[in-house]
Amino acid sequence: MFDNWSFGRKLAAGFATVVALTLLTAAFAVYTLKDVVRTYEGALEQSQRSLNNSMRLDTYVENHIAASRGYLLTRQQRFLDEKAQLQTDVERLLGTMRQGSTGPADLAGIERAWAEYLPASREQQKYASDQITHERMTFAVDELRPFRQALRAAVDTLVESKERSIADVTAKSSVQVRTATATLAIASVLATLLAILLATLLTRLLGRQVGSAVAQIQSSSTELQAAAGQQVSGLREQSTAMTEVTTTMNELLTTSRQIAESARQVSVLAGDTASGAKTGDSAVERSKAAIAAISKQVEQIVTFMLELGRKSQQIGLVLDLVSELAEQTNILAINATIEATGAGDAGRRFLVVADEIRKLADRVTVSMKEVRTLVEDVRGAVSTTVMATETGAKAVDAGSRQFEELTRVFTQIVELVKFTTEAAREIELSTKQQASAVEQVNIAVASVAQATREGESSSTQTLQTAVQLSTLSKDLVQLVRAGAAT
Amino acid sequence: MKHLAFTQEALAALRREFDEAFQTLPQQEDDTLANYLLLQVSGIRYAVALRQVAALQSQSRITRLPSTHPALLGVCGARSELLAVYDLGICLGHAPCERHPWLARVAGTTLAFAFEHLERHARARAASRDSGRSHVVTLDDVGTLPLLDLHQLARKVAGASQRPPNLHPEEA
Repeated sequence: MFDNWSFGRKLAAGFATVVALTLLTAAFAVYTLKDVVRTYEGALEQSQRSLNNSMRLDTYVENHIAASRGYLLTRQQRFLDEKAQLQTDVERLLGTMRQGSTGPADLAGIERAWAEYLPASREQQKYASDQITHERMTFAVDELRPFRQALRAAVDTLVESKERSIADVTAKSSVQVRTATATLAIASVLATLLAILLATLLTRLLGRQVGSAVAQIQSSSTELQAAAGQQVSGLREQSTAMTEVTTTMNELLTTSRQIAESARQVSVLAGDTASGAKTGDSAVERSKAAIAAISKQVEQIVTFMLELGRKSQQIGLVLDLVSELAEQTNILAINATIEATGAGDAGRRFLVVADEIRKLADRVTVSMKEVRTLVEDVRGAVSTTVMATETGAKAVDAGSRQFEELTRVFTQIVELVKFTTEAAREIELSTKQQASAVEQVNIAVASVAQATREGESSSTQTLQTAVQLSTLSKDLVQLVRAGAAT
Repeated sequence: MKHLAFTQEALAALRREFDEAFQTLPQQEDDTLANYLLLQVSGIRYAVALRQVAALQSQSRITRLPSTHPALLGVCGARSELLAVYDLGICLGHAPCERHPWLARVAGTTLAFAFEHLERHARARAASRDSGRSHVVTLDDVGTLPLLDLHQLARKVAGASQRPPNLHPEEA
C-alpha cells in the first residue's frame, strides 16, 4: 500500500510522522513541564502560602505581643482593639491554614501555643496601669515570655516546617524536573532517532523512486531533447521548403495570371481571327477569281510571247539575210574595186560606184551589226521574257494550285479557328480557374508556412525546455544521488 | 542602249549621204591613199594591198588534196579556174585555222590564200617601214598594222612546193 502512495503523500506522511513525533514530544514535554510546574508551583504556592501564612501568623503574633506590650505600657484601647483584631486575624488565618495545605499536625502546636498564649495575654492585661513600673512590666513580660516563646517556637517550627516543606517541594520538583527532563530527552532522542530513521528510509525510498523517476525523466528529456532537436531541424527544413514552396507558388501564381492574361488575349485574338477568317473567306473567293483571270491572262501572254519569240527568230533570219546581202554586196564591191582598179582609167567611174556600194555595204554591215545586237538583245529579252512568262505561267499554275490548296487550307483554318476560339475560351476559363486555385493554394501554403514557422518556434521552445528539463534532471539526480552522473 | 542605226537622225543621215552620193561630184582619188583589206589571222590583224588581190571570195568550197606541203588545203574553182588554196596562217607561221571562210586570190597567179576573218576594206597611206624594217600600214582608227606581201608569200609557197606559182593548166 505504501508503495502505491504518491511522492507527496509519502513526504507528507514522513513529515506528518516527524511532526507528530515532534508534537508528541512537545506535548509530552509540555505536559510534563506543566505537570512539574503545576506541581512545583502548587507545592511552592502552597508552601509559600503556608510560609506566608506562617510569617503572617508570626507577624500577627508579634503584633499581638507588641500590642500587648503597648497596652501594657499605655493602656490604650486601641491596643486592645488591635489585639482583638489580631486575635481575629490569627484565628481566621489558622482556620485558613487548617483548610490549606498546612496539616493539622503542623498547626496543633501553634494552636496549642496560641491557646495557651491568649489567656496569658489576657492575664497580662491586668498588669496594665497608668503607672506600671519597670519591675511589673518586666514581670508581665517575663510571665508572658514562655507562652510567647512557645508560640514563637511553634511559629518558627511551622515556618521551618514550611521551609522544609518548600525545600522538599523544591527537591521533589527538581527531581521531577530532572525526571521529566530525562524523560523528555529520551523521548526527544527517540523521536529524533525515529525521525532520522524515518527520514533515512523516506530519503532512500524517495531517492530511489525519485532517482528512478529522474533517471526516466533524464532519459526522456534526453530523448525529448533529441526529438525536439530533430523536430526543430525538420521544421526548419520544412519552413525553408515551405518558403521555397511559397516563393514557387508566388511565381506560379504570377505565371498563372500571366497565362490567364495571355489566354484572354489569345481568346480575343482567336475571336478576331475568326472574324478575320470569315472576312478573308470572301476575299479568298475574290482572289481565286482574280488568280483565275491572271492565269488566263498569263496564258495569253505566254502565247503572245511565244509568238513574239517566233517573230524575233524570223527577224533574226531577216537580219541574217540582210547581213549576208550586205556582206555579199561588200565582197562584190571589193571585187568591183579590184576590177575597176585593174581596168585603169576606164574603170574609174565604175570604181566610184563600187566605192559607194562598198561604203553602203559597210554602213549596212555596221547597221546590221547594231541591228543584230539589238535583235539579239530583243531576242534575248524575248527569250528571257518567254522563259519568265513560262516560269510565271508555271508559277501562276503552281500558285493557282497552291491558292486552291490555300483555299482549302484556309477553309480548314477557318474551321480550326472556330475550334481554336472555343478552345481558347475554354483555356481562358480554365486558366482563370487555375489562377484562382493557385491563389487559394498560395494562401494555404502561406498558412502552412506560417504554421510551420510557429511550429518551429514552438519546437525551439520545446527544445529549450527539453534542454532545461535535462539540466534540471541532472541537477536533481545529483541532488538525489551523491555524485550521480547523467 | 541607244543604237545609232535606229535613230531617226541616223536614218535621215543615211538617206542624205546616199542621195548626196548621186548629186555630188565624185571625189578626186587621192593618189597618196591606197586600198587595203584588213584581215585577221590567228587573232592578229594584217593589212593586204588590194592590188595584190585578184579576187575575194567567201564560203568557197575547197576540195581537199593530199600533199606534203603543210599549208596546202586543196583546190577550189573560181570562174572556171582551179586555184590552189593555201592556209595563210600556216604560211605566216601561225597555228592552222579550223575554218577558212575567206579566199583571197593572189593577183596574177592561180594561188589563193585562205583565212578566217575579213574585217573590211580600208584606204590608207602607202605602206611604210617600221623600226624592224617591216612594211606597215597606219590607219587612224586601228593604228599600225603589218602589211602582208601576198606575192612574196606566193613565191615562198611556190618555192616550197617546188612548182612554179604561175602554173596554168595549159602549161602544166
